[in-house]
Amino acid sequence: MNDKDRDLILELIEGHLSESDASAALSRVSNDPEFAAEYHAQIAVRDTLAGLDPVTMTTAERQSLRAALSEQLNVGVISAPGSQQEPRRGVFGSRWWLAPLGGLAAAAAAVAVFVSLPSSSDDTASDITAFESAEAPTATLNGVADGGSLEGEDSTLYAPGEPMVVVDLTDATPEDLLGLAKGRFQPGDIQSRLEVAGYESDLTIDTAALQRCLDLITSELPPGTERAHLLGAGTTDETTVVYLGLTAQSESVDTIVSLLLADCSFTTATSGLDVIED
Amino acid sequence: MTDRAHLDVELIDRYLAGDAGAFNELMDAHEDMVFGICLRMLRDREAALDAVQDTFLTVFRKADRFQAKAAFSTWLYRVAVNTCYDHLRRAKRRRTEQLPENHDPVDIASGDELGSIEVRPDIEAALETLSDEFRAVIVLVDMQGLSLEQASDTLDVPTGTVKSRLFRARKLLAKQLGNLIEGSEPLTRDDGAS
Repeated sequence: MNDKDRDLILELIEGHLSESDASAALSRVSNDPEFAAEYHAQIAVRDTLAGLDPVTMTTAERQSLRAALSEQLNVGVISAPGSQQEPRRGVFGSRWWLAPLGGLAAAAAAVAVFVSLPSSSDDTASDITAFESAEAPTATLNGVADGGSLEGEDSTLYAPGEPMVVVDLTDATPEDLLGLAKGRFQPGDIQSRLEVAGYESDLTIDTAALQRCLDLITSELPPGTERAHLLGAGTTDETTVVYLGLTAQSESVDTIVSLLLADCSFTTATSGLDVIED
Repeated sequence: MTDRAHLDVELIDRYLAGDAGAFNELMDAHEDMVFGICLRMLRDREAALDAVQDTFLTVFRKADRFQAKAAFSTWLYRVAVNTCYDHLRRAKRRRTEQLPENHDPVDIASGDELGSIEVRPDIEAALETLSDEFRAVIVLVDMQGLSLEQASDTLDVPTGTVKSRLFRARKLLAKQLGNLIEGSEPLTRDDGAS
């Protein structure tokens, strides 16, 4: 079968031939067995595949897709057809506040992040507003280090998707981090401990990927967890490992999560320490 | 340009101006098609949903670069196919890394790896034998209904290449499916198999 005959068969099937050319081609189908075999095989496969049922997303999949996109694109509340429900959102919600680690030099460009759990399901509107006010990743957030309000003139909110500079903890283990936290996380405490330990880096992570992983693993975190503090990240075998310190109502970090950003697999380590050491 | 293409251009402009409604309309118009392409390319529902999300993220984040020289749908489907290629490459790499020394080849006729696809198992097994490039053409033209020209634009290859791949892919499928397809004859060429 040469290219000319191949094109002739395809154009006949597609209906691209003039009436006279189509008639001539059909005449060949009647008189040329090889040409006819190719033609019928092509038609048979095309018709079989075209006759398959269309594939569609379920309502839940559609809803989940749009909610995820709305979070990552900051386009506001998005509704999927056939659904009156609120968009899907992770247990951690979509509020990301970044603050510099107080004791670190600006050149180290290290930041701490924590994610708050939503207090109720009707936080959506304020979350979207927060995302819409996202700015460049260089501002300070003074209140956080002292456990104060997150709202202030200096505050800047970050949308997932912005690459983020974090403390490089490549050589640290979750147990090391628990040791640094001494079983208790006081905002402003751990960064000075990290500084003393010499951790600093220009390592960046993808916050969108982190958010996706958080959405996936949230239901498996210890009951009562309210916040995940981003302590740092490292790379092992070219895989990014993110370390999160989990806190409940108090600011006590008693669980460290090591999260592989590539596949969202994670392990936890628990301190069991009740004594605060400064 | 078609009415749909004109409407898409307007919707992109509205989206870039911050109109969330335009985003919804674009999703309404295109998400099923993108999902169909991705599911049939990747043969795995979860992977397809990931690819759909990645596709729309890419497109909407770069929407300001869309210049309306081609239809928005063409650009969108091209991103979808390329995203699927990326997923397939990553999946193959993972499979290669995970294969034990005594790993037996998958029996495609068994359907063991076909549980999440929504195509008849015999057809899916036949599609599995195609290379990614051949499968893309089959998916776009025969399964998703694009014209040869649209497939050419989507894949960014000449129409002649689309014709060649489509013809050869169908021949391979006819051979794989054998007498399951009425009227097909046994064929001998086997180029283009994965």
